[in-house]
Amino acid sequence: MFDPRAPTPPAPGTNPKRDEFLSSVRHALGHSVVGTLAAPAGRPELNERLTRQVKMGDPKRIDRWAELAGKTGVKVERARSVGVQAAIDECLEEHKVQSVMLNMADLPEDNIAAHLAARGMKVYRWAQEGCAEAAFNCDASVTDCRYGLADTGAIMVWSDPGFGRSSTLTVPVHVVLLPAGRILADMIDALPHVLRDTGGRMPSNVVIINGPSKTADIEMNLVTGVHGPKFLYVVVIED
Amino acid sequence: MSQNKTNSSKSFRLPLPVFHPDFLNEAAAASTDKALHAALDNSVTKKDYGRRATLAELPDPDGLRELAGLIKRFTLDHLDYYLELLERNVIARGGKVHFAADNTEANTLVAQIARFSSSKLAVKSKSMVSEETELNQALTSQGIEVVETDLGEFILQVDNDHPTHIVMPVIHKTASDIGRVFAKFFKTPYTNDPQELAEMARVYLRDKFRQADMGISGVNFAVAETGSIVICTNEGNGRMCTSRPRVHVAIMGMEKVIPSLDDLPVFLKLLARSASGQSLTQYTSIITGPRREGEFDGPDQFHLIIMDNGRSKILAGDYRDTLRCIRCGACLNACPIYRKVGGRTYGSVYPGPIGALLTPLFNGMENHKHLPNATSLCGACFEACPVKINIPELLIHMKEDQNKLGITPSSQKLLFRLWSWGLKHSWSYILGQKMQKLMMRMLMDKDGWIKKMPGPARGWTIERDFPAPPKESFRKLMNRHQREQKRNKKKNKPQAQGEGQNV
Amino acid sequence: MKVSLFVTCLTDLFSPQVGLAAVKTLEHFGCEVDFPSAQTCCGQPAFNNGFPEQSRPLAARMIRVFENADYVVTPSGSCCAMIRDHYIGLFKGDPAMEHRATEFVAKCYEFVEFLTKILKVDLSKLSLKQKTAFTYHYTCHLRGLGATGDPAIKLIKQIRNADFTPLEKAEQCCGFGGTFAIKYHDISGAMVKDKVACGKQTGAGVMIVNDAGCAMNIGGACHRYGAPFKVRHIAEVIAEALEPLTK
Repeated sequence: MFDPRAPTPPAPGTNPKRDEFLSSVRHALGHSVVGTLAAPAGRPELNERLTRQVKMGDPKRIDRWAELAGKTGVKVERARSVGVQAAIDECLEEHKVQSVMLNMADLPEDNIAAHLAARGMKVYRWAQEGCAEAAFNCDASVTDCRYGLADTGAIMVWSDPGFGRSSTLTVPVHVVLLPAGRILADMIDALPHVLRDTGGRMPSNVVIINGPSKTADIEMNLVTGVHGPKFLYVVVIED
Repeated sequence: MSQNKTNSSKSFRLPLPVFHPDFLNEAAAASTDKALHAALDNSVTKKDYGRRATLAELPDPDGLRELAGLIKRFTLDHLDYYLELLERNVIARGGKVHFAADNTEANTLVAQIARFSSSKLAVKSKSMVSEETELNQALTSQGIEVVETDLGEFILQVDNDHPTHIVMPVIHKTASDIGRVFAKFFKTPYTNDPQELAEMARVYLRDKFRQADMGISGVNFAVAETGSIVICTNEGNGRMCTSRPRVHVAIMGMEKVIPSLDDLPVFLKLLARSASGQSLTQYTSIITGPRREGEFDGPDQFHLIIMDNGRSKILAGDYRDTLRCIRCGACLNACPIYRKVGGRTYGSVYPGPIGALLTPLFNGMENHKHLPNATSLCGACFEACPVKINIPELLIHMKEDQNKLGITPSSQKLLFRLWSWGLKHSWSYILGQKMQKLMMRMLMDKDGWIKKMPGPARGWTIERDFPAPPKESFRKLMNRHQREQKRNKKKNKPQAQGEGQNV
Repeated sequence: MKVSLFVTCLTDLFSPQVGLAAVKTLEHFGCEVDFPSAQTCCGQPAFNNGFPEQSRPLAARMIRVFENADYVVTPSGSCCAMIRDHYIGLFKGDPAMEHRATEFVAKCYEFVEFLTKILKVDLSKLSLKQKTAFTYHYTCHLRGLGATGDPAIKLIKQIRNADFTPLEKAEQCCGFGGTFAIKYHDISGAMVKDKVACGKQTGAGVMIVNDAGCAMNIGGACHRYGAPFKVRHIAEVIAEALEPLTK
């Protein structure tokens, strides 16, 4: 069926089903069924005028981000660096949190870990054996994120060996730290960062999160927390 | 369940399952179903207004739709190149690509992957393509447990029912209906409280997420340049299915590919707005291959199944533009016919305006005579479509094809031939007018309305009265008016011109 | 300004008073209106049913009949849309006819469109005899004309003694759709009943409907099931308001 070792597409002739499939597509388009295809010219040009909703560097983008995030059901807190711990406490206090998964992509973790442990919570860290299972069973998680997107009030995260998927997904309460400088104007500014920041290597999993989990499938009634986090807090760190 | 026809000589399966063949009777029943109309006004009509409101947030919504349509057309015109590019990049990032010629092959591939990976339990997020292939039945019959995790799809799975909308699968069920379904399934006391019902599903499904070996997902967009697939969900079940289990199988129709990551915002800014009046869904996942070395969660294996199932045939023909569809459901929400008959009436995986085109295109026009005809050609679908598929134009084209193929009764052809001939000449037009007037004024009541039209026109008066033509046609009135104008001109000649225009 | 009226086959037979009202309105605002009597039908029914070959000779006739017109104005939105959307395409492969069709399309206007875009009328000096509550049904085929219903509503609101209440689901098709109303009458019936119910909700005495097909459909349903409002073309309302001025 397939060779698990080969990182390149099968050579023509080795996988008849594949060859037949691609041939029918070429045939349907009236293209030659033999040889390699050249990259097509004349693709429609992208125009920022059509997609950009917030100007790059817009000084109001932080407020705009906070307003839109609030509308999607995110509870936005604003704090200075010294007040971050207190802000996290405020978020967690609204819930019975006994266990918390702590997972920062690049912000320092250890102080927060110590602080939460001192308040009697069992603190789990990512990038250790069993961390995914731990995240599945935690009452809350505290993470950072890569960027904020001011056109929608969303945040962006992506996975790497130090940052998991589960830490932003499998917990009912998710607290996110977002340095204000990471709030970009628009999605069209954020997406190029994915390749830029990772040296051209797409992460396995990028997620744009636009509020807590929700559904309206049952007679259009809004229900949150099925299946991602029911409560999403973002602490904007202003300095 | 579905009525796929089988030939005696070989096993032949239609590309799309047919849930019932009787559009007319289902439409008649649905047209008087007030509860259905109320449910649809509460869902699709609201979503249509949400679409308009949120599109207005964009700097140039019409311009963006135009661009999205052009990108889709360009990609389709070079689909061979972009599929090969996608394949190359998925493999380069550690994923596997499989090509399925039809629905049976697609199901076989999923089952094979399950067997090879020793997967006994699969959790599934929403995929319209998997509805095309009836994947769940195929897997279940091979001993693989499949659990739908989208709340709406889960309800339908438990109730052995089908989705009636591309995006909101269960709008045809009330909370009470769902309460009954869950009470039976979970063997718990009946409740119709949405929060309680959702919680029951959440707990049950969380356990499945915990144990699942395989996650199956659809694909909203496949980015050729990076070998990524994009999944847009609100619940988080899509993320669960593609992060927890060891194996991730993504199934896509081959038309879902877009060229580059830079194209993605064009579609993301349109998709959720068009579908449900949100700027974005709660989660937009961009998935590229399996987990990387050193990562602590995510699947070990990523498989992308690219399916044809009749799309290459559509690509080759006059209806290529229908493959632009990004499955947003905006046309369903805008359609005045859908709002009155609901999704079940269409009897297909794809209902609504786009379904009226796709279903005959996939299954053969002779098998779905009514779908392209049950339209008032109002154009709401075209106005709503984020990729500007000119659905009304294509519906007219399909009627042309039906006429050419002899699917339309020959009495229709004759009727329009006679009608056209009569209108080609003034004398026959006037004569026809006079005859219609005579006939109809014989049938009218004292108010000037006709309660029962004869012959082929009787359908009209089943629903409403028909106005009888007034005694004098416009031509008579105009002649008299022009004579009056001439007389007035003669009278007013000595006076200054333009006086009658002072207001 | 010379204007040729394209009255449309339905208006000619079923709502001639609308045609006359349109003529009177145009004349009041300074137009010399003629009526090329050789006109018959734009060919839409055949075209919409997939018989373009039956539609083509009718389109050719229309182009010929109005060849010398400066402006062609029609009180029916759907006929105007037929001309704009399909006339040029009907003659694909025939460059001479395509050219003539293009010229014809360029001079065709729907009645409200002509009043607002070309004549730029101001109705604020007009008044109705009695206070009348209006609502407005947006006829679908205006979509092709790029209208959003606003020009007609603006005009109504200009007239004195005219009150306006927006119609819920104004842009939802009334269910006429030509032969659709007969072939799929169950669905059409449900659609027109919805339209009448929305009309009732506004409390209006008059629903403005600027298309003969819609008017027959909604009017027919009003008559069958009873409705507190009448169906009128905006031309009829304007002509009524003009009456005292032209006497």
